[in-house]
Amino acid sequence: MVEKQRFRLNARVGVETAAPPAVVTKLPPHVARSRRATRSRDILQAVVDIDVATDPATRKQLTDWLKEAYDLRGGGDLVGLFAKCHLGYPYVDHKLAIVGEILEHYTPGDTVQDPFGRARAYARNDAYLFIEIYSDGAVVPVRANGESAV
Amino acid sequence: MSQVSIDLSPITRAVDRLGDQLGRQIDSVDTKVGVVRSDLASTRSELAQLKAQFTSWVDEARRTAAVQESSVKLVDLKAQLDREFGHHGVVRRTSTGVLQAFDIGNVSNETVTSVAEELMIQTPRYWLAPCLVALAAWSMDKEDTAERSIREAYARDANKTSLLFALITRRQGRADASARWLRHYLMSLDPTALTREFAVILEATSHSAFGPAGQQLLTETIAKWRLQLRNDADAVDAQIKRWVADIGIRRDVLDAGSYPTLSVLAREWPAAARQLEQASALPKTMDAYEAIRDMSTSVPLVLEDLLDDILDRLVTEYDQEELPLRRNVVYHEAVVEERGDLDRARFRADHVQQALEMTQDILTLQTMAATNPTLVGVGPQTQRLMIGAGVKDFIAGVGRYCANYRADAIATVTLDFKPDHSNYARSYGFKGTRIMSDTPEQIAIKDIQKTWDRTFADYIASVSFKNAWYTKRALIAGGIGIVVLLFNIWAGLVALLIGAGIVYYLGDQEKKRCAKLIADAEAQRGEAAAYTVALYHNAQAELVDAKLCYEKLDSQETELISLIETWPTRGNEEEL
Repeated sequence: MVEKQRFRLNARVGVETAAPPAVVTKLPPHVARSRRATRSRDILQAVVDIDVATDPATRKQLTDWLKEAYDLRGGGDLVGLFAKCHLGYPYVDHKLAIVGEILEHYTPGDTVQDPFGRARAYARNDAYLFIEIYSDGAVVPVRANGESAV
Repeated sequence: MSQVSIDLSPITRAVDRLGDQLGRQIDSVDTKVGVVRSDLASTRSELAQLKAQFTSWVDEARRTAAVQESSVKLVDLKAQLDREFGHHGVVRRTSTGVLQAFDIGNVSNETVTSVAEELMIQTPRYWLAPCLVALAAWSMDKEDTAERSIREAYARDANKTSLLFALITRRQGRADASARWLRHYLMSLDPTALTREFAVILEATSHSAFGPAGQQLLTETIAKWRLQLRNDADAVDAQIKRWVADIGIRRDVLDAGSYPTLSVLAREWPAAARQLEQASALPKTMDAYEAIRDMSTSVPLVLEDLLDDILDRLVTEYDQEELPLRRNVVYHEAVVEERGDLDRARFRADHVQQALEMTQDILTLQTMAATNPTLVGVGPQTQRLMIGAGVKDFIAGVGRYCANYRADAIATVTLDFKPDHSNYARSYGFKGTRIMSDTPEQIAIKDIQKTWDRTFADYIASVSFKNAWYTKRALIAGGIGIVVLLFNIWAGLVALLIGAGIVYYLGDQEKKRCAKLIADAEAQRGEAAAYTVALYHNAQAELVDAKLCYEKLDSQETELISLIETWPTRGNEEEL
């Protein structure tokens, strides 16, 4: 395998075994448990739909529904979602702030303000469908099957 | 008035000769300067090469020395283990030997007693010696001696003695006594601080060595403990950390030589290399665990053999006095394994040494049995079961490991063309420019071109002939002329003429020299820029290559997770 040939003896680096700093927050056990629980199919679908919804009314409807769904999950106070953008060039990712219902698309050159900025590297990776940002500062990448990845 | 005519022709000839000679000499000096200049440039680049080679050689030498030192220490440590605890080996072998001799019935009880008593005297403080005496006394029906010996063994190491007799009574077919010893053993344990010999219980459980009743007791107890401990989020987090570390020690080392241009030009190279290295652990982990899953193991069919194996483990693997030495052995083995990279060896040893802690909670013991079976002292069958028990933590560990390096994933790099990125750049004082890898190619090339244009404009301005050159020399020649003029008007005039001639001639030579430098620079202008553009193209190609390699490695997370999810012995307990 080509990959194997590329590697040989040299550098030295440690591996971080603790959870990413962004997800280390002391949560009450029931909140932590709910946050780890798999997201429902409907939630995943709604996130995908919002990306392609051009009609403001539909978008508002979906956002409201998402907010409610997340409230029901009981996994903490969701600030917004961040995801890869499928609009095409020049946009690469977008944020959906639940509060204020702001949908913003970004090009690679744009600066994304924290806490959304911390989700950017995750959004580039195909392993995650979207990234949740909570009011306690946690950034949780979610897999396509709805499982939390951290 | 008499006319004075002075024949100036010899002087003119002399001046011409002088000029010719001077010209020839200047030409030869010029050539020599040119040679020296090119020599200097090549020396500089050779020196840079040499420096790089030297640094890598020093690194290599340091690592080789570390490996050698550790190899020597390993031999030493093993000899020390043998010297200090070697006599325990005799007792260990004798205990299994005695049991087998009982089975066959070909050794007299007196012999067994005398051997046991001798060992009791020879190995003070060792828990197994009184156990042997008790066994011998048992065979001779000497209840009093047996009881006293067991009491002594119990005082030396309560846990191991209970466990040993649970196993021996089981081996002799005394189910009741075995269950009693076992219960006694389990009762005395604290699930948050199990001593190392508990691994024997894991091993026995995976082979159902204690029979149906014992098996039920053990599985129920372990399940209860697990549930109790898994309520503690920190304890669960510690297991996830262990799995992350286990994946981490499998990462490969990237050879910078595989991305020669990118590794020099990209400012973010160390981070990018780290990212590639970390992703490389995924396929490695998959290979390792696939091998564990598919490994065929032979389990002894006769209960006695199985119990003998377990007894062997109990008496050989878990002696605490040996732990400090064994921890040292682990570190030096890690140095050899990581081929002298001390930082990585430390990381590996830190993780592996957890298997050699005095006490561990049940969750940690199970995770360590899954990741480092040999050090914990369990066989492959048990390892597979323990991986099954830890599936949830393992998956969480994979997710966290990937999320950790993905959080810092680099999308673009800055290509830094420094003033010394090429020989041309060094010779002409390149101004330096930085180009983001996502800049469109045309703009990037234009940027390189512009920087080179500025570089050459400045260079040409600095080497072009300036009229100021004449001032100093004219002043000196004029000064000499005027001094001579004070003595003799004619001689002074001649001196002025000669001076003017020489200054003019030298000026002409200097002009030629400058013109040549400019012509050289103009000739190399195209090549210099083309070389930098070629470097840019190479770096971009290598970047694409590196990204593809990273994506290929990184995408294997899914496969790794599905390998763990479909683990054959996956525990079905629904936990938090």
